[in-house]
Amino acid sequence: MTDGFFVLLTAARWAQFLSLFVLFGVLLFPFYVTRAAPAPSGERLALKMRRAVLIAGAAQPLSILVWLAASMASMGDGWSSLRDADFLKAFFFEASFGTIWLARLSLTIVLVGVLAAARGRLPARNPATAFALGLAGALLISQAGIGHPAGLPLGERPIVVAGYALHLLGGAAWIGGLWPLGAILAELQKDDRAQPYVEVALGRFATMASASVGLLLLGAAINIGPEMATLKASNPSAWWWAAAMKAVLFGALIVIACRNRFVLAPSLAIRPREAARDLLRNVIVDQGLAVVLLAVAAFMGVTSPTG
Amino acid sequence: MTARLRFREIAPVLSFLAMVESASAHAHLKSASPAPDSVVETAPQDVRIAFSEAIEPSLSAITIVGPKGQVATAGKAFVDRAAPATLVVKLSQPLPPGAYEARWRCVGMDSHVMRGSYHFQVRP
Repeated sequence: MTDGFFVLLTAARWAQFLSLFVLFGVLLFPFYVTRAAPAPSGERLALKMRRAVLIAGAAQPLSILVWLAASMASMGDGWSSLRDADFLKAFFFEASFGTIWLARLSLTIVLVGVLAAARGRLPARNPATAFALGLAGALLISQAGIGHPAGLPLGERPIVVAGYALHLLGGAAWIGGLWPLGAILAELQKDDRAQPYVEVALGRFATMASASVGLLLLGAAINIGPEMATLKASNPSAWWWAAAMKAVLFGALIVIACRNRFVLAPSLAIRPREAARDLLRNVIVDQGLAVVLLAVAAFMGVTSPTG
Repeated sequence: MTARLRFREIAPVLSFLAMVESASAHAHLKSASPAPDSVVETAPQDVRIAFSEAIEPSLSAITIVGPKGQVATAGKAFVDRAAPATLVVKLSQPLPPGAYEARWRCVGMDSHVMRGSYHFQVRP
């Protein structure tokens, strides 16, 4: 693979991860924070959430198309392969991952349709949001069919795919939820009346995030199993260095999350403005760390554990 | 009691981690016939490359390039039915004496693509 395709594939995977994580996290939010925000904060928050869904919903189809095109061009004889009918037939109908790509494209078309048709009603506790959430989840899980788990022997594949699904869904629920959380904390800076709502939302988010981190870690433990044989402690590959960097970034996210939950959130009732400001700053730092972590994950997706 | 219960809960995961021996690395060349940098006495009828894991035959290819840049392969490469990780390409005719380059491209089931090449000679 040339350097150009490598960079393009990594960037496309990163944009796909990020857009699906934000979509999943934002769409899931109203299902665990069931209390409505008071007016006028509620209207402003709804507008911000719709904007996040719009941006992520536009980035997802674009990034999947770039990923698909770069993937095909790297497998064939460059960009001209995209116009070669024999190559397209082999890619979509003969290769084992062709069906997965067709399914992912179909899911994307349906997701774009749902987001466009129900744009005024998203995100909220309604069937349209639940359906869009399911589609975003299916798009995340289906990445297993075109990544490292697909190359494993049949006996190991189902459990690793299950681990991959837990890892991604747990990560998307937690990291994606940082975007609505940031928006409601910003709202508290403008309007003190939102404080009871913010306290409830913070508590619900903390419970959801704890469960998500558990799933994420279980998925990571299952996923790392097949790669252990490739680890050379004396000379680790770039993939293993990236895995170490991912673990450090994850550790930093956990440290900040613990400070938010056990120090800042309880002090919200005593000094609301200062605590909300510090929480918001931490959530923004978390978002930045998560963006870098997803870039590292995208890099790991296109490199080999053996180097 | 609690520790025993926890161990029981995580035992399936631990046993899976202990059991797994294979690695999801990208497919790479394991062996080839003619072998890399070899000198063969008799002209080969085909070129066979064995990879480290199963590959997608429809997207993988081998091209044999002769001393004057001519391509000596006939048709698309295919997978050996007895060995799903071995790619085979028939030669259009027995190779005349000279130096050859085998250029290969393999696409793994994990959709990763690897490319490479090696040289061999057919002795006069």
